[in-house]
Amino acid sequence: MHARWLLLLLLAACGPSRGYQARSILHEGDIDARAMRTLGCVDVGFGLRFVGNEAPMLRTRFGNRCPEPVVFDLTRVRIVGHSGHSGTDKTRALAFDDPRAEVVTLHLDGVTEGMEKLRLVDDGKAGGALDAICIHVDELVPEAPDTHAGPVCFARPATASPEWQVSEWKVSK
Amino acid sequence: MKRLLAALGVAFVLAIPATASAHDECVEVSDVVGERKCGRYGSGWSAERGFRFVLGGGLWTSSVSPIGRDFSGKTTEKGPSEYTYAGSQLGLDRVQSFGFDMRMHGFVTPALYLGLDWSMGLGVAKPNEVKTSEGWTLTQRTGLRWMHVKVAPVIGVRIPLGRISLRLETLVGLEIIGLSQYAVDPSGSMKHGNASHVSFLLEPRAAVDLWTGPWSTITVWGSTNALRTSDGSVGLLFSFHATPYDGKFSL
Repeated sequence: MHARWLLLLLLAACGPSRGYQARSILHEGDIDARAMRTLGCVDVGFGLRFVGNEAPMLRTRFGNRCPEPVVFDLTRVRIVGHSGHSGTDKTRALAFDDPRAEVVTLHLDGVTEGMEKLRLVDDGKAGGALDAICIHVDELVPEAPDTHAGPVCFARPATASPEWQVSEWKVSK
Repeated sequence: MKRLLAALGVAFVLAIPATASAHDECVEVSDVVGERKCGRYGSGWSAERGFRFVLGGGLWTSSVSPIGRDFSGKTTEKGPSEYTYAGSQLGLDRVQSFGFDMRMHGFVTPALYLGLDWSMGLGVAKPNEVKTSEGWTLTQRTGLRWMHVKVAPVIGVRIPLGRISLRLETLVGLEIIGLSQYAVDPSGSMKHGNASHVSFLLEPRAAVDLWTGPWSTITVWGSTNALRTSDGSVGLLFSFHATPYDGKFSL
């Protein structure tokens, strides 16, 4: 029994894992490289999916390249829905569907990656169907120095695919 | 009636895992936040919603003196069999033992941790013949007849310095030393006798952890017994850490 424990511990001690490595969130294949941003130590990537008439679901993958934990604050992410054409569109804010108020400021552990799926609440449906959704992540990692990451935008796909495509949507000023 | 009791027993046994399952696992409505009855946001990646604990195992060696320790023993066979003697009668200055060390601890603050340490070592002792006041004559048995065991809660602090950490801790618990000998009673009958000394343990320990990965360390440690400063131990520990770098890589 002791020998088995020791063997397990020895394997753990000499294990090859180095923890999260830069851009590893792309390895799962469900995040487009164009939908990834690097904010200081943190890589964050998004995917957006609509199924039927359900609310849009945002898939968020993230990883910390550094050994120290960093503040990771999804509540600071701004999500904007766009209807109309790029550049001349109407916008409205979307929010996370978070009935138990779970989404709060937390620390992402060092060299750790995570994934969360969140439904988006769209209270402005009277404004028409959305053609694009942009996610503004500048403040997602408050400690990140001088972050000017552009928004990650998704546009309605031309086909009936539930997965929205990364878009170069021109964000209205 | 027996069938009813059996049925109740089966129902009880089945109810135990059912309860645990409801507590520990997801009821899979979906895996979207807010639409499942588990999988709290942040679990698995956040510092706040994880538990920082460490499991370790390794090898150690100790050097202790039997002088100043009173041993009490008994034979493994029937009859009036208890005896006592002073450790100094063994004629041994020090005895070395080698063995395994198991450890777990968890952090209660970023730097302070509490845990439990268990270690057992075996050694070869070649004591003198001992005559006890009860009339027994104790003689040497060959082989690993010397045993050194420590069981102790541990409290310590960790100082992160990048790829290495320093730890200062104290074990507060029990130390057991055992010695197996041949015991010859006054009638000349020879039996196997096991004697032991149990004492309070207060052991300050210093350790250096080397991170071999975010979740693993190799540690070299050394300690002394604060109540018997001539006794000492050193060891090598391999540990698994539930949180990368214990949540703090450097000062």
